[in-house]
Amino acid sequence: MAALEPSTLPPRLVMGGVLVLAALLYLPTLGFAFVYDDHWTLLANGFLRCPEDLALLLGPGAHAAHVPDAFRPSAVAFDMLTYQVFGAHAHWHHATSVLLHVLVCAGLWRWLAARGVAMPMVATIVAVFATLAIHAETVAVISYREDLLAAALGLEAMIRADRAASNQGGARPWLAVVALQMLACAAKSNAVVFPALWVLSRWCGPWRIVPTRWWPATSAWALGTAIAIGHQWVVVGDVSPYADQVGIHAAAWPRAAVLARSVQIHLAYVQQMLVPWGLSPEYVDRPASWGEPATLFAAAALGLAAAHAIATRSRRSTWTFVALGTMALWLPTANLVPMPNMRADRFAYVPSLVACVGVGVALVAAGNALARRFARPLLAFAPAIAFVVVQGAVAQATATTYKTDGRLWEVALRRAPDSARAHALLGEIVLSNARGDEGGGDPALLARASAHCRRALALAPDDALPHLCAARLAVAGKRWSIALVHFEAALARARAREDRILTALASVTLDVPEIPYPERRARVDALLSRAEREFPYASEVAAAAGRLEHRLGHAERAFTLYRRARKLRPERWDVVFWGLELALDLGDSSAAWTIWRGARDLLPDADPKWVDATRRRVYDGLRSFPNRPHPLPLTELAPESSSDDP
Amino acid sequence: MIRKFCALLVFVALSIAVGGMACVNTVQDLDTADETDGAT
Repeated sequence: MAALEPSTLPPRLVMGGVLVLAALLYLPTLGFAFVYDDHWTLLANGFLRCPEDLALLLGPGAHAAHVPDAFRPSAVAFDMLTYQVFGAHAHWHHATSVLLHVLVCAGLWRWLAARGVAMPMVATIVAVFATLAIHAETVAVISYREDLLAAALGLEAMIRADRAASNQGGARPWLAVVALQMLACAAKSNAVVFPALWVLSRWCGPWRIVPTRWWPATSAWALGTAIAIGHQWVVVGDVSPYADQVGIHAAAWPRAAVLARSVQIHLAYVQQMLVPWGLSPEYVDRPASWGEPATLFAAAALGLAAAHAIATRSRRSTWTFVALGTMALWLPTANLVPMPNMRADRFAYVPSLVACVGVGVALVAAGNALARRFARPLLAFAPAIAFVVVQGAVAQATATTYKTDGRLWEVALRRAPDSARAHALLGEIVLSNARGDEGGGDPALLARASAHCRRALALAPDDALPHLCAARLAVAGKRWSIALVHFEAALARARAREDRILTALASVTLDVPEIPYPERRARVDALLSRAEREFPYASEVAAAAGRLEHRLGHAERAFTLYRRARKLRPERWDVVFWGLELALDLGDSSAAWTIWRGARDLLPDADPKWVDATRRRVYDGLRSFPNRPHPLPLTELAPESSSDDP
Repeated sequence: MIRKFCALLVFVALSIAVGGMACVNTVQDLDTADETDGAT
């Protein structure tokens, strides 16, 4: 029987096989929900429902209006496009993430093949990249597709730059490099190092390449990068997109302490890529000392690796390129500028493009050595297959962490028991379950939520999330004054997403008995006007403000805000029901009936108790007020089409 | 040769699926562990 000889297979067939494997690996994610930042960047982001305002992304307008991630215009525009095409159906968005991961794998294949790497080696490298377990977070969480987008665009820019540097295609490839690099950086800032990677690959990469036309090449890369950075500067006013965020831990600690921890983190990334152990959706940020053994060991390991790679540059070995390329790609997330998270699995996605080249070459070399040692040609594939199977299995299992928010934060807490964020968010989730359809105010669930909130407060009293958790717990117990104190504390400490705190604070303020009623009204007005002014695209602001105006008897304001909330997030069934209640309160039972009939598609997702009570109110309204049309066009609050499906 | 390659791909995909399920089961065991007197 002849042994399997990959070099005799059609390259397209092998490429197709590896790409199908990459897609199959993450096929289970199609059944996952929206989790993590998806709620903020996709579901509650009203900007995605306003394509007419897309041009705001070109200037500071979108950022000033607190559009999530407005400093990443490519990623936001891509989100808008996918929302307009797929709506709020999680499975289609997950399919898009899987497709993007496959595109990145295909891009890596094309780039390596164009550099003259032998097909079996390319197949091994791409299979390693496709199945690397540390990629699970990036592919399984929809909102992290910005990394996938940046990698896909950056790789395409590398391929076009190679063509241009080899005098193929005239000026068009250069223009393509400018455009692709600009879009990649505008999807995620870590793409700014693709030019450095390209230069490294031609300077010390293990390939025979024709002489490079350096000036046009570097000019095209620099122009694309400069446009993106310039745009970010115009939008945010700083090179770092997080410059205007207060409360970032890494910004409060001494830079040396942050970098000491960062060195440890980066050695741990290398370990996690090679041996997929310790992957987590959450890591607790901590400063470190340069005198710690862990810091010294990590610094020595990384420093020696870099020094050896530079010293052996003239050999143009794979090692030199892999070591320097991986380090270069890690620079943007190396905590040189303060970031909200010092460590995350998703930060390894782009650097692993180069690291996988080294892993693939090592696996093939080990396989060849085995085959020679035991005189069995088939053993040449054994190390690569074993690595791909183990990494793929762990990737598939790790991806299930991101199936639902509850599961995600449960796992996060097991991996990082000292995480105040995990405690606070899990506390809120448990509280939501306790108040939901099946919780029924279960005292055990309330006690559990309380324990998580208390622990979060003890761990990080200066963070916003623990106070938010405590405030929501107080609201559940109708302890309005305590809720007010915690909401105000959360607002003072929040570094982003103040909209949800402002609206919750306004809602609670109206119920605090210790404050005179006129003062409550004045405070609510001030909070709502601030929320509406600063967060014009936040659906929660429009919905909650509409509800409060409704409570205060301002029918016209409530109608306007409900209509705005419907536009910003048409999937919300509660806003439709509030609009229906407004119609009933105004005695327009025929408008209420129209809204009720239009809401049929939303009913399966709504609270059954609320649905039943509303149904009875609608029929009672029809009997009591058969024909009293109101001047307000209340029927505009009805869902417009059956596509309003959460 | 093509048949062998396809067989190899199927083998790798099945191995990943089986290995993934084994890992997930371990995680689920962790998730359903009784925490009544535990961390919280």
